[in-house]
Amino acid sequence: MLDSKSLDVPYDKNSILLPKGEHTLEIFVESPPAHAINVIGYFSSTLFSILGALSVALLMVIYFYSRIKR
Amino acid sequence: MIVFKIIIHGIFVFSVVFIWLMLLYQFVLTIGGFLCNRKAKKEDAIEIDEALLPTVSILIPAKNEEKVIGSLLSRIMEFDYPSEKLEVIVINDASTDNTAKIITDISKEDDRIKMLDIPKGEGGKGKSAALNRALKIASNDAIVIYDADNVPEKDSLKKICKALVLDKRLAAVTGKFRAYNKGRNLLTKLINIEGISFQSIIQAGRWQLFKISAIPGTNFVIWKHVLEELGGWDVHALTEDSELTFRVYEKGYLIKFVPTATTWEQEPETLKVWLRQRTRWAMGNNYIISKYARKMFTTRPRLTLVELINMLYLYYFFVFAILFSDLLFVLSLFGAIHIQVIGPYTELWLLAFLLYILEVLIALSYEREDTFSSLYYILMAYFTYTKLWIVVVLRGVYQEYSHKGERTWAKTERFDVTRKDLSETAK
Repeated sequence: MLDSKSLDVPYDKNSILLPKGEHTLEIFVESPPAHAINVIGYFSSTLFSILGALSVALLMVIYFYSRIKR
Repeated sequence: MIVFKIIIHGIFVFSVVFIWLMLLYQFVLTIGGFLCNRKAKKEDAIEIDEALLPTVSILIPAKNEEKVIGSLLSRIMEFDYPSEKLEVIVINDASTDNTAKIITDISKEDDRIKMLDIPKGEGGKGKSAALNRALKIASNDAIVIYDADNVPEKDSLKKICKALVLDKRLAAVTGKFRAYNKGRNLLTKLINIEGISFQSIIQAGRWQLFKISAIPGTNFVIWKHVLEELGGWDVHALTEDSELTFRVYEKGYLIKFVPTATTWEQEPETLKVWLRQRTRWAMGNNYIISKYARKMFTTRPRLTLVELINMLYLYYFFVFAILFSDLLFVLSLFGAIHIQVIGPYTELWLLAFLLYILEVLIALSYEREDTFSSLYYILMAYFTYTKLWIVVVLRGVYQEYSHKGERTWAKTERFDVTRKDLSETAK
């Protein structure tokens, strides 16, 4: 985190140019629990978004079918 | 700082997982509900010889019900059920208003209507106690319960009784309830949406897919011999209907939901009355969970376990997941925390919102209430009414375990019934 903003530093780059003044830099080292949460979070959210999109599509079909049939 | 961040991220991820497991479960139930509604229309067309219908004792607990009892009794007199197979026992549970007089006057017009008068010193011990007294004098094969504020449709009794005799596995059959005062104010409009959604998704879906359904407090029929086998109603239960459901499943019977058998009831018209009623429900659920949780993994058949997990998940895991997720959202809005979990979470929120809208719209469409104005109330309910359930659950838990709340059965306050209300029930 640089000045409270997320910053992705490429692996091949070890320096960054900043404007003159005072800055804060927070470095987060990913521990095993943090890594596990990230993995679970990524895979679960991806799976749920796929299932969610399919569910929304199917419910739209059912809803319009119900309206037409009645 | 790092540990705090891991905890926050962990709570966030698992809240999303819990919420989405419930959303997908509700999606499956919506499909089941859709199939159940289609099937119910076909089942309605099946004719049955009236000689096969059971003799029925209708039990109506009534404590200070002068505003509503007359409408119910008038409607019962119009039922299309064979007259000679019907007995109505109105339990005047130590009323201090004109309830007894109204019952007496109406019973003069129809000798099927009887009043069981519980004197002041012995009454007021709750719905279960009143029903147990009436069960002792009920003389027919099947017992039907109506709350005093109900106005059932004329064919509803026949529909639930027909379903009961057509399937030998059944101990009970429940119908649907609707709100006749739904147009009274914003609260009743939102309760109406909730009631329809609950029944068209959860009740209908669970019956269709898993052969599970919960007995509501009203508009259901149950064999008298089953009630006697179970020892009647549990006088300690604040939600005697849910508690009875568990014991019926423990005995290996089934409870069917018939979505076309409709009764109309009066919903709370003020937030205070609503909060009191729902807190009682939440406390009742706490009682059931504590009563049955200890034998959760040993009880047979497994339907009891499924019902218990459903209750635990719906009232606790899901509600707390929503609470944590909302808290994290608000804290991140104010910059107090930064959630940096990788994944399509914005899309997930949007999909959850769409799922909710579509599920409720489908449920309302069965009642032809999926109008443009309903959409406005559905959206409003998402951000307001559904969040009130968090307050109810927390209040229920607090009152139950701090012993500060009333642990006695409290009657819901009634409001005047208007002509417009009754016209809703005649549809």
